[in-house]
This record gives sequence, structure tokens and C-alpha cells, in this order.
Amino acid sequence: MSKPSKKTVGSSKRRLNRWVLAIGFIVIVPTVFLFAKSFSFDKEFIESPLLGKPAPDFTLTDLDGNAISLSSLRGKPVVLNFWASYCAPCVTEHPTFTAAAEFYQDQVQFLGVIYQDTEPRIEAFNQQFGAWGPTLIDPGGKAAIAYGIYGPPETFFIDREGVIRLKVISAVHPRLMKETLDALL
Amino acid sequence: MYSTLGQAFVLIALTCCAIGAPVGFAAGATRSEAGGKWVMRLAFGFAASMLAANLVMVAALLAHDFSVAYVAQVGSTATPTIITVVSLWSALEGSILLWGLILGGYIVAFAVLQRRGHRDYMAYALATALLIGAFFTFLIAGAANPFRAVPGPLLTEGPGPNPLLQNHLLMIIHPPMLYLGYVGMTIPFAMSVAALLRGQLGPTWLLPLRNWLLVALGFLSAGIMLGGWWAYEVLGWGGYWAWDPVENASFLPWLTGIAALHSAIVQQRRGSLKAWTVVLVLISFLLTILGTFLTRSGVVNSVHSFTQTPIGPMFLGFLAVLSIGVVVLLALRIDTLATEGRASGMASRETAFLLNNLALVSIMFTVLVGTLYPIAAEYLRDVKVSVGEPFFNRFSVPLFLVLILLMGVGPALPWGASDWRTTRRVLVRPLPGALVGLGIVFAIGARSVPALIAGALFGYALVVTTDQALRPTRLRLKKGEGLPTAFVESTKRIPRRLGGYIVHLGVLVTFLAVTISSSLQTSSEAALNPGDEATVGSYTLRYLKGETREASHVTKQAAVLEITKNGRVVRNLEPTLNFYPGRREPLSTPAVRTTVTHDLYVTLMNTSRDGSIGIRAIITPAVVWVWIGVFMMVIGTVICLIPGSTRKGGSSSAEATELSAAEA
Amino acid sequence: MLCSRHLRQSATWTWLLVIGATFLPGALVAQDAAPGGLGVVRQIGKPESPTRSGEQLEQITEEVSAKLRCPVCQGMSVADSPSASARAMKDEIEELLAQGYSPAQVNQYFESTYGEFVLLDPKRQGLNWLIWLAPGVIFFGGLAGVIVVMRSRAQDPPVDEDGDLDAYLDRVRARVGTHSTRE
Repeated sequence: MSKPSKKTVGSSKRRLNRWVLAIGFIVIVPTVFLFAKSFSFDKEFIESPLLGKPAPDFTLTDLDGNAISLSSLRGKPVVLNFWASYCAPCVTEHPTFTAAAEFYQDQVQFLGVIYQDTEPRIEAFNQQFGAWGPTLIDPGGKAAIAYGIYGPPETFFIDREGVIRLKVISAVHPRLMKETLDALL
Repeated sequence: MYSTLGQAFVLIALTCCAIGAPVGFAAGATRSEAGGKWVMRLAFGFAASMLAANLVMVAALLAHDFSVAYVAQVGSTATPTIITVVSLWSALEGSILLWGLILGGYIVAFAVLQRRGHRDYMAYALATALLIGAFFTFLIAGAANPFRAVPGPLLTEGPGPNPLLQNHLLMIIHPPMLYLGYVGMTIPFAMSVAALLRGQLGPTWLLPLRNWLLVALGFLSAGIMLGGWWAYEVLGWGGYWAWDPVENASFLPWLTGIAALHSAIVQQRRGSLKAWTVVLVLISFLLTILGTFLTRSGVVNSVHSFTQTPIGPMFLGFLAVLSIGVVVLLALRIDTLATEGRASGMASRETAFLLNNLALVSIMFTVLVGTLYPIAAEYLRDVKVSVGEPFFNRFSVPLFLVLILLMGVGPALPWGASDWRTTRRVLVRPLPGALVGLGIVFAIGARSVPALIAGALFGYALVVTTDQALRPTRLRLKKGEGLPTAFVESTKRIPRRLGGYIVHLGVLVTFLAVTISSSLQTSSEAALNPGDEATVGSYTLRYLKGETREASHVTKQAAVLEITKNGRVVRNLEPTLNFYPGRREPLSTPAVRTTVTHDLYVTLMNTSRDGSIGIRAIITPAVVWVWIGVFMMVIGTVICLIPGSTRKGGSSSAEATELSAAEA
Repeated sequence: MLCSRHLRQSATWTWLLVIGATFLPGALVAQDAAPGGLGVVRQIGKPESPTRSGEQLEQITEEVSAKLRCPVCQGMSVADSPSASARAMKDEIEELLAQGYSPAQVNQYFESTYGEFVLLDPKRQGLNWLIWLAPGVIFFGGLAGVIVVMRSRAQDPPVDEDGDLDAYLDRVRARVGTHSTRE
């Protein structure tokens, strides 16, 4: 707390109070500067601490009851997509995944993980749009927590050695999909 | 048509401001009477055209004229009429338009009420207010123009306002209240700037300044409380305050405003702290602009913020220019507001006031730093960090305890110098109250140390506050007057005194209610099939049936629950999940049974196809007293604004008698 | 780093694997995946404390989840949020605490997957010290200021008032002043 009260009587003074000026500018300039910078911050983007780390392993069953474990897919790049039937970008990116799954067929493994959704709704979604790969059930959302999901859709690109190379928040752009997978192959 | 008409009024308003502000400053500098009259006229012109522009917008909303951009954004033929009217402030552009109207209203009220006897200050103050008006009108005319004509073929239907607005009555009142508080800060600000420009701040200007500050703070308190209440009734998490950036933003000017109010009292009584009062008022206003910027630019993550818009940078520019202007003005003129320091002892009421200011400013600073730190961390460390409830509670709770301690100690201490014997006597006397307070909180079941301290401080401050509030009455009683006469007469002489202590009582009530409600919640969750029962505390909840209700703008899934307490059926509660078209996730509206002692709060978490539901039931004690306390603060504020009978005629000694009697 | 494995189906399996995992050297978690065992491998290490249950577990779960951010909400904690994601997180927190992981380990685990953003209470390190120290600096700095001001005020002889305070106030002062010194 700055006490700007000066013990001066009378009103003939017209001098600049340097203290006020200094304190004012020390507060204002950095604050305004930071605000100006903050306009360019991406509110959605939170960098994943998992980048460059081994992808957390899991064994989950898909909608047909087949158990799939991530570690058994070692040697092949994996695209791991957390999604839900209620999210709009999930619908947007669906054709990208369908096309990519067809294009890369055996070279890349595409896996979907259900994020906080019910199986009937997911099945209805798959029936309407077609499934591009196995859809894994994540009971208790443990996989979502292990991958640090903030909200669907989020996509992880995992290389042949099982290391996470890229995380995409929201819909994956087709070009990004292709460039990333070509680099991983 | 609406589009053209509306834009025309906005342009008139902008013209009034653009001419009025420079004319006003010039008139102030030259002490020109004719210039002063012109500023007044232009201020009225600004207010009138703002009113007209708002009416045009309401008419356009009611006419569902989707060629007007704002109507196309928030209008819908399916929305009920009342919601259509209030959708005026349901989105950014409309809310700024309303902002303009409120500012116009304040300026007119100020100009009319203070027109006599303040010629020295008036032109400067109006010019400053119009300068602020110019910025907002500029936004309305340009970047946030709600009257923009929608190009292309005419639409016949719109999406309707934000579902959160449609969900609850409180959301209709909360924003205007908050705006009244925010915008109201413009008047004390303008008055302080006028005082600085004039180089003096006499008691004739200080008193109205204090009153306008009170008006703004009253509305701000009500607005903040209604926001919390709304969150409690609608958001379904069972709390009312989450230290969300936007909540914090409304809290900051409240804190410094309260500090300014107290510092103004010292200035009035002792002649000191003049410059400090002005600094606090200026900061309070800057903080309202900061809050508006935070809410409307989307630079911080918050539930309440409007979506990101291009007006963010403009607001920042305004904030920057304004703060620099204020600092330069302060640096140039602050020394003209000399302190006439009068001797005071350490254990005096002045010290308590200073410490009160210190605690309030420290809370403000803590909240400000915590709210803005994530931006700094993102820039400097390139990492997103959160500063949340645990952080804010850790630092603000002790400071709030200090404030309540001061609320007890301060009024008990005499002004000026005092000897230690007196000090000890007045401070020891209310101690039994502290014991009672401690006992009550302990008996209710609180065991945490802060809660117990809070209880003791509450009891202590309560004793002092009621004692002080009734002291003039008691003195009159001793002189032999009857109780009603004594009370009415002493209140009539200085309503401010009673009002102030009612505000303090309100603060104490809210403080205790917050303490109890936050430390003694019990909750339980259950999955129920029709006919199943769940218990929480002494309540039994029986799931009767699920219902689906269609309304014009919403589909509600309701769960009908029969509530039994101690074997007696109390009532049914119907928490709902509301599905709005165009929104995927439902909003959960809790059902609340409010009683004097506690609330039963039930939310519907989910519904399944097989007919089962998931519910969460929370029992929170004393919640209703949080609102009641704030309501008391508002009532007290209104009483403070009643002019005392001493102001008329020459009996100024009556107030002095009354005041000095109160010190005894 | 040692890894344990969570099995939804059988607690015995969990224990066997926890014990097994402690003897496995590397971080190659994938190789100890048991056929048919469902679940997710957490990179969290070994529990540091004894297992918890009952009221103690409930209380510590509340405490820990009040300090973690609900990922799908805006600034709300896991403890407060009614959302499904937050409830899943709360269950996970409870499970880990029940197994004997310390609150610090749980925080560390969530930070390792979600990043520092998930911690509602900023970590006490580096630049973050700024906000941890700022409230104290401002309060105690201000306190020192108040003491200095009051001291000097108390020693100053009363300064003559200039003309802009009216007679009424002077009278108030006079009465109040005499009164309180008399007491």
C-alpha cells in the first residue's frame, strides 16, 4: 500500500509527484503489455506433458468385446482418438479418420476411445456414420485420465516405438493427419 | 427501419459526448457559467438519445425484426415476451447498449441532484463522465454495433438468447444490478477527477461523493450477491462463489470501494487521508473497467464471459489510456490535496480504519494477482497454470478474519488519542460476546480452527455493532425519552450512523453464514429406480417418477422426488435436466428446499433409458442467511443515503452532540 | 520407475501385479501386460502410505479433489463439479488414495498427464513464488506503513486547518476531541 499523503500545507505546489508516477507505471505498463500479449494465446491449447513420453499402456475391450492392448501394437504407428457422439468437432473430423483409415490400412492402427458417453449412443453414431476402426470402451474414464483428456475430441499420434509424438485438440485437419502419419511411417 | 433509427440515436449520443467532454473541461478551467450550462444540456442530450436507442432496440426485439444484427443474434419468435425484452442484455452488444443507458441515467441523476452549490466541480465532473460515455458510445456505434443491418435475405427465425439466461429469473435481474454497480462507479470517479483538477476536496464535495460511492456499492453488493445466488440455484454444484475470474473482477472494485468509503469517514472526521480516499476511488473505477475488459475480451477463462470479440483490444486501449491519464493526473495534482493530520494515538479508531483499508487493499491485491497470474505465467513460462479456490481461500480467509476483528475493535475505540486504561476497558467489555459466538459455532458442529475463530470474532463484533448502533437511543432513554421517540429521533438526526451499522450487521450475518455453510456441508449421491429411496441427513428422498416436459424453448427431464423428514412428508422436489435446442449438453437445474436453518439441494445428475436416475443431494446449513445478510447491507446503504434532519437549518451542533455522545 | 497395474476384475490380480511390477526393472510397461487383464497402466510408482478406507479415505479424497481442476469445467474443482468427467476423476482419486498413494503422488500423477493446468493450487516453485509471496509482502509492507504513519501522526502537533473545512466539522471535532481525551 503506497501512502501518497505528503505532509504539505498550502496549495502553491505544482510539482510532479514522482512516487505516484513511478508506482503507477510499474503497475500499468507490464499489466497492459501482458494483456496485449494474451490476445494471441490459444485458450483451447494446453500442451500435453505426455509428448515425447511412452504412451500409457492399456488393455480395453471394443464394442464387439475384443480386448485390445496398446502394447501389442508396437511396431506400427497408432492414432488414438478420444471422442463422443455429442461433440460437434467429432462429427467434423469423422470423414478425415474414415479416409485415413482406408488410405493407410495395415500401415497404421486407428483406435477410438469413448469419452464419457453411453454405448447405445456410440453404436447409433457408428451406424449412421460408419466406424473407421475399433471403438474402445473406457470404463471409469481411466484411459482418459491417463492421457489427460480435457474434452473430446483429442487425438494422439504414437510412433512405432510407442512414444507419443503429437497431440491434437479438437478436430484433426486432413492435411495434418497425412503429414503426421507420413512422418511417422 | 429500426436499424437506421437506432444508429441515428447512437450517433446523436456520441456527438453529445464528443462535444460535451471538451466543452466541460474548458468550462471547468475557465469557470465559465455558460459553458457549464452547455455541458449540462449535452449530458441530458446524451442520456435522452441513449434511452431512445435502447427503446428502439427493445421495439426491434419485440417486433422480431431479424434484419437488425442483434435481434438476429439473440431473438427468436419462440421466446416468451418477457425473455425477449431482457435479451437486451443477454449478449455483448446489447449489454453495452444497456450500459450506455445506465450511464446516461446516472449522469442525469447526478447533474440534477448536485446542480446547486457545486459550480467549482460540476463542469469537470460532467466532462469526465461524458468522456467515459464517449468511449462506450463509440463502441456501440462501431465495433459492438447492435443495430448493424444484416445483409442478404431477411431471416424469419433466430436462435434465441443464451439458455442460461432463460433458465432462471435471477439471471434477468443480476446483470442490470451489476451494471448499475459498475457504471455507478463512474460518478465518484468523475467527482474525484474534478476534485483533483480543481485541486481541492472540501466537505461539501466529499459528502455527495461518499453518497454516490454508496449508491454504486449498494448495487454492486446486490449484483454480486444475485450472481452468487443465481449460480447456486442454476449451476447445480451447490455453491455460490467459486473465485472465478469474472466473479473476482466484480469483487475487486467492491473491495477498494469499501476501503474508499471508510477512508472518507476518516477524512471527514479527522481531515486526514484525503489523497488516499481519492486514490482508492480512482482505483475502484479503473477496476470496474478492468473487470469489464476481462469479461468481454475473453482473455481469462470463465463461465461468465462473453465469447471472444474484436472489442477486447479496444477495451484494453481504453483501459491503458485511462490508467495512464489517471496516474499522470494524480502525479500532477495529488500534492494539492494536503492532509491536515491531527494527532491520534496508536490505539485509536483511525488506526482501525487504516488497518481496515490495509486488509481490504491486501485482499484486492491478492485476488488481482491471482486472477491475472495465469496470463503472466503463460507469457513468461509458456505454461498454462491455474489459480483457483484453494489459493484464494488460503490468503483471503485470514484477511477477512482481520476485517471482522477490526469491525469489532474499531467502533469500540475512541477517535483521537486515548490512554491504555480506556482502551482496555472498551475492548474487554464485548469479550463475552466472543465466547457466545464461539460456543454457537462449536455447538452447530464446526471444528475447524478458522471456523471457530470466525465464530468468536462474529460474537465480539456483533456485540460492539449493536451497542454502537443503539447508543444514541440509549442516551436519549437516559434523558427520559420514551423508547420509540428516542429511537426515531436519534435515527432521524443521523440516519447514516444507523445505516452504517446495519450494513455492518449484514456483513456479520453474511460472514457467519458463509463460514457455516462452507464448513458444514453434507452430501450424498445415489442411483435410484422408481420407488427407491435415498437418505441424506434426516431427509429421505423417494423417487416417484420421471417426467418429460416440453416447453416452447426447452425440453425438461424432471425427476419427481418425495421428500420425507423424520418420517413426515415435507414436499416434492423436482430437479430437472434441461435440454435446449442447439446445445448438446443439458443444463442441470437443482431443486432446493430452503429453510431458515438449512437448504436441501438436489440435482439430477443423469437419467437412463431403463428408468433409473442418478441424483446428488446436499444439505448446506445457513445458506439463506448469506442472501439475507447482503440484503441487510443494501437496506443499510439505503438508510445511509437518507439525508439527516440536521442538514436543514443551522442546527449542525445537533449532529455533533449526537456523534460525540456516541463516542462515550 | 516402477509401475503398478490396475485390474478392474480382481483385487488379487492387482496385488500380484503390483508385487510383480516392483521386480521389473525398466519402464517398459507394455511387456508386463497380462493377457486378458483389462485396465490402464498408470505411471505413478509405488504407494507411499498404508491403504486407506472409510471416513479417513472420504475426507482425504475431498481434500485432494478440491485442489484439482475439473477438466471439462471452467475453473471448478473436481470436488465441486457435478459433471461426469469430474466424477470419474474423483473416483480415480479415491481409488489411488485407497491403495495408499500419498496426496502428493496423486497430484503428481494428474500433473503428469494433464499438465500443471490441472492444479488449482499453483506449485510453489520458480515464478509461481511471485503469487505465493505477494499477499504477504503487500500486507506486512502495508502494516509497516500504517505503523510509521500512525507513529508520526501521534508525534505531530496538530496542523492548522485551512479554510475548506466548515465550522460544523470543527465543532464536531472539538466535541469529539475533548470528549475522548476526557475518558
